[in-house]
Amino acid sequence: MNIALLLAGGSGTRTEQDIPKQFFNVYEKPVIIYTLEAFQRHPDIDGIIVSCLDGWQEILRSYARDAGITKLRKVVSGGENGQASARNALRELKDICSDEDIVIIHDAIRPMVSGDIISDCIVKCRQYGSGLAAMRCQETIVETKDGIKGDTNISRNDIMRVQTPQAYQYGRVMDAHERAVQQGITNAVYTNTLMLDLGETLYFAKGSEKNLKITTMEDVEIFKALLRMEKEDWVK
Amino acid sequence: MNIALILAGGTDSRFQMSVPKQFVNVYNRPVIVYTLEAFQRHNDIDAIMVSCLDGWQEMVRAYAKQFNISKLKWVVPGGKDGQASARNGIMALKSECRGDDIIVLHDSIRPFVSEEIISDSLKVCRTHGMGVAAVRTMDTIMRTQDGQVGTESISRYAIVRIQTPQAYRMDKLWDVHEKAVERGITGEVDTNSVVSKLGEPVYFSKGSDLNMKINTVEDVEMFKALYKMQKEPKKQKDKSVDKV
Repeated sequence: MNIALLLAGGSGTRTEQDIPKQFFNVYEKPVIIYTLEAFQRHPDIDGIIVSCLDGWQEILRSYARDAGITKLRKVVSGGENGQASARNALRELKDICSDEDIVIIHDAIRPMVSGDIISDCIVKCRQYGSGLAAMRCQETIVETKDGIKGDTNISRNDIMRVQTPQAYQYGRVMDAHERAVQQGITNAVYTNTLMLDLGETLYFAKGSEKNLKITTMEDVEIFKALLRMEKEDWVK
Repeated sequence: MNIALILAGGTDSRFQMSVPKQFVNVYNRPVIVYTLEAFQRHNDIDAIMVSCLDGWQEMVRAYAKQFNISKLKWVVPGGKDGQASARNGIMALKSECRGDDIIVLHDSIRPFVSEEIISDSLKVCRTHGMGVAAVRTMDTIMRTQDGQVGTESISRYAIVRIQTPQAYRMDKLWDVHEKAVERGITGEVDTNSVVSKLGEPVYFSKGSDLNMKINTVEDVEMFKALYKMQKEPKKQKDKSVDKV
């Protein structure tokens, strides 16, 4: 069984808007619904659980019902950061998942995730035990301590940019999250950084430049442009 | 005096078309014309030089005339990489400029550069001698040997991604490129990499994800969509997320 776990716990300050970014309307539809639709459409996804910002859970259920997201099984309370949000949802999956089942963790604010990317994460996870959407950097990367100036370049060939989705075996990822709590690791942004801190080795899957994370109003503009592109492709 | 030096020397074998990406037509004008227009419009830019791929220089001159890029003063031959193209331009500017003039290097394939981003690179340059457009990354970064497996992450707060524009004082820019030759530093993709190789700090100015580089045919499509959107009146203001 493959379960999608969407992280929608953030309240986000970078957009400088009052509505949390995962609930922004773009062409009359909240961002998170685009994301849910991507997993609803995917034939290998059996169920969806969302870790959602408090106060917005009932709203999410209503939107999802109207959009025909029949795979949505549970909406749980999000946490104070990415790590807590993932952990809350993973614990809720105890009765549903066996250790070998695959959990695909994904940001609610990455609505452009494609079927290809989801598939490759699952394939890599079956093969290697983990599959993280990732890609090479196209721009020069410079290390900085203060954000004002930089010192050394990091070679583009030595690094990967890791996005979501991130697919893990349920038993292994649940265990990692419980161990993190025991060891006092509490502010990991993502499950992959948490697992690396615990000494695990992780495998990359296909990512994409289009799979953008919506964190600023500029990103909303880019997202709109991408949607329009998709439409034009379809019209042709 | 502030001079924009537009880098258009590159050919990219990964681009799936015969026309080099800086000359691909988008709504009947080449990408580089949009870039030139951004600098033509900017009040603090006094003149423009293009470091241009051989064989395409006449086209740049013709389009610049057609689209009233009156600030375009020089078109010089490009080099085989970013460092060489910049160097060719700087050599040609040496006799035209004073040491405290500012040269704003910019990729011809970043047509979406905003007025604000150009202004901020100039501003940082006046304080620190250079200002290089930079953005934070929203993805997590992992170290890898083979691109298949990783064991270590780098905090995304410890790095930035470098773009253009990159504003440098002329004397600084000349110095950097001369030192590079003396020390055998060649083939770098951008001038900031040369600065880093010399062991000197690189100062950041404001960048943007919208200030995208057109590298693939997909990026051309994306540019079209963004351009069309910006041209439209904001009729959805009330209904969309734009804060009133």
